[in-house]
Amino acid sequence: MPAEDLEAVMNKFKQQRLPAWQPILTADTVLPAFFLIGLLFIPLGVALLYFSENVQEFQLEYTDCESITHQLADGTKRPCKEVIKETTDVCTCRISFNISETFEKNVYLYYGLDNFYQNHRRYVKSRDDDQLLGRVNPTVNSDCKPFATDSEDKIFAPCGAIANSMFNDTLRLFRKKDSENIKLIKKGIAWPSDRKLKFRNPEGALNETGAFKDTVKPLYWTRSVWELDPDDPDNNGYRNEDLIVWMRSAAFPTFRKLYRKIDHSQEGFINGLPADRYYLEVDYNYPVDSFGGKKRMILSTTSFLGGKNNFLGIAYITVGAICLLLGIIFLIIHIKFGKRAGDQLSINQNTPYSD
Amino acid sequence: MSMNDTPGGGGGYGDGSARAYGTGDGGAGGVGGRRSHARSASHGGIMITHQPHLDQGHAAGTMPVGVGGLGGPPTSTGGSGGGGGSGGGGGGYVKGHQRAFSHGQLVEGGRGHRRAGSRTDFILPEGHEQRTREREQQQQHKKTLSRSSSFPKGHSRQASRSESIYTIRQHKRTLKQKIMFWKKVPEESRTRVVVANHVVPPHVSRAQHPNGSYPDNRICTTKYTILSFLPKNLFEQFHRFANLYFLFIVLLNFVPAVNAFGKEVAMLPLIFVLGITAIKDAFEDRRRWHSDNRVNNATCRVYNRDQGRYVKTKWKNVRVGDIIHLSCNETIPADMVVLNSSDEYGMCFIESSNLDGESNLKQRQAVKGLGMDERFEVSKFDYMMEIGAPSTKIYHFTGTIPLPSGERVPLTKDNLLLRDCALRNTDYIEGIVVYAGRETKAMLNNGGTRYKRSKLERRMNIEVIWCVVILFIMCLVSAAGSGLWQSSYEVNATLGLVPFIPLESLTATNSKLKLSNNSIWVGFISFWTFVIIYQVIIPISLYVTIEVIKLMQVYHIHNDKDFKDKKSGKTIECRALNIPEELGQVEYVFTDKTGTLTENNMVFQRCSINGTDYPHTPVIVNREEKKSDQRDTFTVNNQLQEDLASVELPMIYAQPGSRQNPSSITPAKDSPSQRIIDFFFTLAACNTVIVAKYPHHDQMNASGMIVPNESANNSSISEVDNTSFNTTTSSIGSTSWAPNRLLRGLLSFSRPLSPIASSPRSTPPLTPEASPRYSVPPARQTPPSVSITLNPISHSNNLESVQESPGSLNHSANTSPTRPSLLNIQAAQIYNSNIMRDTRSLTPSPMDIKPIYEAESPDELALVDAAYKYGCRLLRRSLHNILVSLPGYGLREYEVLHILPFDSNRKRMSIIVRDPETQEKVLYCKGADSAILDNLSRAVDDKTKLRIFRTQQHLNIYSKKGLRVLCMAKRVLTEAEYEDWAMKHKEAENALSNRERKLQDSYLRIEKNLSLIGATGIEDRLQDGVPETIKAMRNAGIVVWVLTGDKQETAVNIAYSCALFSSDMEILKLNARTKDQADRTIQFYTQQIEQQEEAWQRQQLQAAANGSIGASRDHAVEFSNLQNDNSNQPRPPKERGLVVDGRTLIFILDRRANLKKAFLNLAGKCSAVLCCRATPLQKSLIVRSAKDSLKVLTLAVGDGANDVPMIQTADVGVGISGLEGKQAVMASDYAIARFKHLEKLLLVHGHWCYDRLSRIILYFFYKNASFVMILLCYQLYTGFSGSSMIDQMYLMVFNLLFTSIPPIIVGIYDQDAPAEVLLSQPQLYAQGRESRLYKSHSFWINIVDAIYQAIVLFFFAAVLHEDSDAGMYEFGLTITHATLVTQLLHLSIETKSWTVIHVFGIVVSFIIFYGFGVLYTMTCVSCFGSPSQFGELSHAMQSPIHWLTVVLTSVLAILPRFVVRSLSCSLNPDDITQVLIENRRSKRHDYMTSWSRSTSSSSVYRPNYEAETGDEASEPLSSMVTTTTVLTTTEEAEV
Repeated sequence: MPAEDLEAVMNKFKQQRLPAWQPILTADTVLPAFFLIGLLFIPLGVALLYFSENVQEFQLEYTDCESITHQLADGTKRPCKEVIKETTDVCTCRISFNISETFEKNVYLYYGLDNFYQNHRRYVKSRDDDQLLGRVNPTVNSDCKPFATDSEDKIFAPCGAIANSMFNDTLRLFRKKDSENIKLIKKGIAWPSDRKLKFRNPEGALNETGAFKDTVKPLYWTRSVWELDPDDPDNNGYRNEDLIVWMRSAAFPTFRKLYRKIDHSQEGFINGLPADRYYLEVDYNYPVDSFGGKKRMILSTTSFLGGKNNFLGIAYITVGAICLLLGIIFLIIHIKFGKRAGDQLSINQNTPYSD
Repeated sequence: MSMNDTPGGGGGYGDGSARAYGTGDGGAGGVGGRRSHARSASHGGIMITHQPHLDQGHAAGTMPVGVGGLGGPPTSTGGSGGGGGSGGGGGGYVKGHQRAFSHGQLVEGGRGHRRAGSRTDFILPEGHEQRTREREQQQQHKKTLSRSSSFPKGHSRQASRSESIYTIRQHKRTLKQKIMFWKKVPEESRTRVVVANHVVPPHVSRAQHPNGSYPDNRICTTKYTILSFLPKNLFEQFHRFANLYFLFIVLLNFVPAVNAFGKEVAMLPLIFVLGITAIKDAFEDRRRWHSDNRVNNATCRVYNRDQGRYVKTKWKNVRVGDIIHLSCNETIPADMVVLNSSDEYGMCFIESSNLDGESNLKQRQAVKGLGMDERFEVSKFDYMMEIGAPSTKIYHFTGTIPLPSGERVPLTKDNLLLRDCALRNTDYIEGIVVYAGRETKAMLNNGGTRYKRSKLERRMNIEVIWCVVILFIMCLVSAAGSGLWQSSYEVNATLGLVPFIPLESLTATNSKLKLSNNSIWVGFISFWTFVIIYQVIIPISLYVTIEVIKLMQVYHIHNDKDFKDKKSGKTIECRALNIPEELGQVEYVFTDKTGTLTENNMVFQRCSINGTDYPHTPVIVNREEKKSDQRDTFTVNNQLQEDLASVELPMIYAQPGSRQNPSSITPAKDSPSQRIIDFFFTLAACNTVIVAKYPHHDQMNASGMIVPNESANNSSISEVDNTSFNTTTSSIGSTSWAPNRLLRGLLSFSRPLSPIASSPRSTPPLTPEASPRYSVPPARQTPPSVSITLNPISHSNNLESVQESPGSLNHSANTSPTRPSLLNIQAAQIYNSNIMRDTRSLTPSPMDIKPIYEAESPDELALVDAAYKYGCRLLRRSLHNILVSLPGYGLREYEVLHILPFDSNRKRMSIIVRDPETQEKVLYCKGADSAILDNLSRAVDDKTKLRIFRTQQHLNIYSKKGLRVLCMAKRVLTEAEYEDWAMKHKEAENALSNRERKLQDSYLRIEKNLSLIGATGIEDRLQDGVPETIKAMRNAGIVVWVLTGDKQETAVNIAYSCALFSSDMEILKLNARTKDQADRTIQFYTQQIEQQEEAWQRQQLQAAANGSIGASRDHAVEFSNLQNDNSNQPRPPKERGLVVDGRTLIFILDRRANLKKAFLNLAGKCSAVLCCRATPLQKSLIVRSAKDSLKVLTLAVGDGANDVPMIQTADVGVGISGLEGKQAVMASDYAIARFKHLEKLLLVHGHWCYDRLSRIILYFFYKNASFVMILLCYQLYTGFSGSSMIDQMYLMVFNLLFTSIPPIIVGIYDQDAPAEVLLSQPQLYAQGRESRLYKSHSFWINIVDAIYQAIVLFFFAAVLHEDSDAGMYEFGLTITHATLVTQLLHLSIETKSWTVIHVFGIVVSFIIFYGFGVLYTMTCVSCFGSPSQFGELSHAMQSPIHWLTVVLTSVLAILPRFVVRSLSCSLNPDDITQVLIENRRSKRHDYMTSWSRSTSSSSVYRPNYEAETGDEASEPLSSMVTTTTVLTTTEEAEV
């Protein structure tokens, strides 16, 4: 911009005389906006609803499932939630369920918890990102307390209430026909960015003398952190994806977390999860009684929106409809009242309604 | 006071006054003079209004220094001095002193003195003062020889009043004094000793120096030094409630159990706020530092002992005890006692307008009786001075100089020059500094800047308190929820540990565990946590934002080119940064008149003599130019000049050189030509103008060197003497009308005289016959030819034509061998007597001969100037005679027999002179038309009647033109008439009871049977655009009050011409002389108005019932205006204007009278109010009472220092940066160059600023509330644990970074209507005036909107994210994003006009949001001690749900506001929208018509908006007619 132009602009700026657009929100000017929003939102809502309807989802609550490993002497089955209060043994339940229609490819297995306040203020804070980054410090974040150190001042690995309360049920799926164990993928369930940068193991071998020297397993855990996935070192220790998923606090007390992905490479599941009878076998470890929680297994396909969510589509349609309605109201207002002031000014017929 | 208590007090009174006029017959007279002087000072002008007169007498009396000087009463102990009765000498004084003491009135030095003085000087007009005094005297008389115990009581009451009046600023105990209350103020501070510094040997350490303990003259108004800045500024900032609150929050965050955020993060906002404020404060303080520096480094001349001369010294280095030399017009650097003046009587004049706003000159007197009266030598001044402690009382000063002889020379306020005053009318003075620096009265009275808080801000602060309440409720609810939630898990505790309720400790005992999870304890703890989390609802950024906005608003006001005055090049100066929005809310404007509405430039415009109207074309000049040559204000009327010339020619030709036959020279008694001469003589003589001799020159230059002055007065003085006088005058008088040599000589001893004495009581010392000087009318010796050619009035520029005749110069020079002893030659003697010889032959420049006129009222000045231009020149004025140069007569000295001063009852003044030739005693009278015309002689012939009739016609024309009209009349008195009257008058003057009334009667007796000479019309030129501005302000609904010190007639005239009053207004006048009367008058008017209004309302109701008139009052008015022709139709009550005079104001403003409310009530019913004769203090009291009682927002505008109190009192003070000093500007919040700029300042900038700020403040409340409400909603899902889904960094920076710039931009640049529209439609100002945008419910509407938006934003997102795998912060980010979009959309709805900057602001906001997100979530893996946000943003951005949620919720959230706005704009638009819509329609229509014209040549009616308004504005003012009062209770008032 040439200097004098700039000066002229600066002058206009100083004099507060920059060219300005002064919209007046009269009926005629806002009409188009309402119609536009209405006309955009309603189709969008319909589309969203359509996508949402396409998502298939199956939920199974297994909180009160009965143990197949622990039975009373009289043969009655005991619910696992009772069993785990008494023993530290693995309590297993098996629940059968029906999938009535084939789940399209890429089926995900979630576990869901109800009434679990993962977003509690003190709970959320109770972690040490530094520790999870593999940095070895003599002390951990004080927010981890009281799950920072044990009575012998050994650091919990990982520390904090979040890690301490990690979900530790094991879910397995069987297809009834041949009782075959459906292969589940346990990697790639966490955010890639988390795996890449946020969670790392300390230097050294993944054992109590190497990377996790001078640490102790969290209070509620049955296994040490380096035993989370002994088969795959990349999925072990702090890099264990189940841990990573768990460490991402859920926004609401009712939440689901991705547990596994169905391996669609295996025979029979190439195109998805066929309609059939399935069994869910659970190694029931996680107590939810104390806070009245519930545990669910969720099988779901996804759309580009993620999970099933009819609300979004409905909301869009509703808002769009409201806007259309308002548009019509404003149209009436404009026709009835809009020219009131104009009448006095003797505008000729050619005068358009809006600017 | 004591005098009146003495037995035979009456005698004492007369005695004293007689002595005041004593003409110096030896020592006794000297004593008398001195004593009476002291007494008169104590009485504050008891019998006369003009102190200078008295002092003249006094000075004359004390000339022979000796017994008189020594016999002076000891003022140090008894301020009012000695007793009245006995003769001179020490005995008299002792007696008087004892007597006074026995009455217990003079226990403390000068207290009575001070009281009386204060009353006179400040609040009460002179008349009042006299009255009360009379009454007191009457009382006194009744109780002759009694103790009059009630007397002191009355006085103490007055004292308490005067105390508050007298000091501009209350003397407060400092904080230090308050803290150290046990430490008594040392006794030393009551009096102090000052020694001249040059007496003290050099190298004396400061501690041992007698003046060492006094502060130096450095002033320091800054708040901080570099070192103290940080602690002091922080300390001050934490005085603010908001900052304390945030500090508390920060500290709270340090409590481990409570903390919600990282400690460092929580401090971020506070540091930000403190930092910005500190920078601003530092900037402001720097400005003060600069101005201090400027003052401190100004220079003056201080006597240096080593060099033995005066040396240029910086003000800051001036110390108590320094002797200072000041020249004319220099500013006085410190409070000092005058020791010597260039004036032979030791007089000097100061103008104290910088201090108290009084622009008239005050006389000060050098200390006498030091034995150096003849010749002052600095080095010999080695006295010790005892003076009082510094105080804020401007006109109070006591002290003494003990002489070696044991006597004491009293020092009074008359000896004291005050800092910041200017020396005037005196060549130079020398004085000793007694108070310096911060102890000077000017500094003690300097209140410093006050922090003004705007109405909007006060409102805002209330809302902030509401926010606190909301916060408290929110915290309480959340805490209760938290407790309840906790307790629901306590039941389950037996079932096992709840994983998400972390334990306090793993090893804790059961009881401790119980406590930590006890629901009440948890609730308590979480309460504080919630305080931290919800803190944002108290808008921390609001304060900073508003400061920034205001700063920028002020910047743009400052840069507005329309505020630039082309003539002076001055522009607006915004001194207050924090109240621009107040300009948009002004309800009452109080304006000064002179210099504010008018140019304070009286221009002689018309005159009517002999029934002929002589118009004069005014020459329009800048005020600056005018300064240099005050006379070029109009061009001489040729016709009048010729008429005047035709007068002289016959006279001179008729009797060339004849002296024997005066009657034949003088034209016939009543001839037209005589009247012309009389007319100009009246202009020149009948006034109170002081004639100064010549521009004052000091021979000492700025650095203290004595420079021989080329045009020094000495030469000419030396050449004038008694013997040469006749020849000189005769020769020069003919060649030039104002021979400078002669003039100088003549004027030099007349200067300090006061023109008005109440009336010379004793026989004048010099009768014309007795005087050897002017007895010969010089004109008669004049060869006619010379007179004709050099007659100045035959030239348009007479001054140029004035040439010194070399011959006459030589002649006079040669014939002046001796110097007259009376002339002012001190200067020459002191400095260099050689100069006289050196300059003897120099020819003074013609400029020197112009006498300098100084008058209290500028119109007198205009008249004298006009007369001067026509050759009728007032050359000298002394107590008893006037020297006038008349065309055709030459120099004539008239003996003044009486001056009947002006007063507002008679509305005229008169002067009785004795004609030097005919010895006739003639009364010349000048006054208001009514005052003169009613007193004209009845027995006149038809010719005269016609003349009077024509003059009256002219007068009508003049006053219609808004000119101030004056009539001139004369009356030739026969000897018998005069003697008779003079005797009675003397009686009246000496009367002890009812003196004023008797005097009035006496005046009336003589001022009758007048014969009309002519009339004048003077224009007090209004500033450009004043009527338009006032009209615009009135249209805007602003009530305009004009407060002026002018007299009523003038003020009313101006009020008409400036459109304050209009011809169809009913003018009510309040001229009460007693409290009861004032009360009654106010009651009467109020009742009348109420009756009128009731009647009108009743009629309206009836009419409404009839259905003929709409319910709206406006419509009704319009309607009835249309119906005015119909005589049956009741007319609405007229608009009313109220005129109040100063005396009535005294009663009204008197706290005891309880009239204030009634008055304001009455004033409220009037649309314009005019207060005349108001003192500065009254002005400020009026403003204060309007502000306090009516609870309105006031603006005061003024130009002079006398407006300073008013400007400081008002909510908004506006100074006009005129020529008279910077005081008004310094005290003001805004300084503008012209009054008309006020229009744009208020109607446009004020309107904008209010509009912007109120919208932004509301927006901020909304913004923060909605944000916090979202957090509150989330608590429902987190068990009220105080958790937030938004990361703490986002929480902290959301307000500071993301949503701060657009509102700031809207706050600075948004315009609800273009400037042109606002100017053309002043009624739009009502929006701000009535605070329509920000009412008490506006806040709640915004809070409700915030709650709605929070609910929409949160719950829609919540439903979408519940039971999904969404993480907490992912959800939080969505909410943040949606909130940001919503808030910016909300702001977009609020934005009235979009410019590039607005768009830029919004775009930048988003960029910052995303930029910050990227920066924070991509780089910060683990920082700030909070759960890491790594990758959250990119994850959210990739999620369609995120975007869909943001779009949906933000659209839905703003929908209601959008709909409501649109509905109100379409169905019920406010004024501004209406105007804008119409504007747009007409524009579009313009386009359409022009299009249609171009295509079809059809013409359509086109309402031309601009043209309409333009016509309105330029409505001619000629329709203004002076209306008189409908109700005159003033008759009753007049005694």
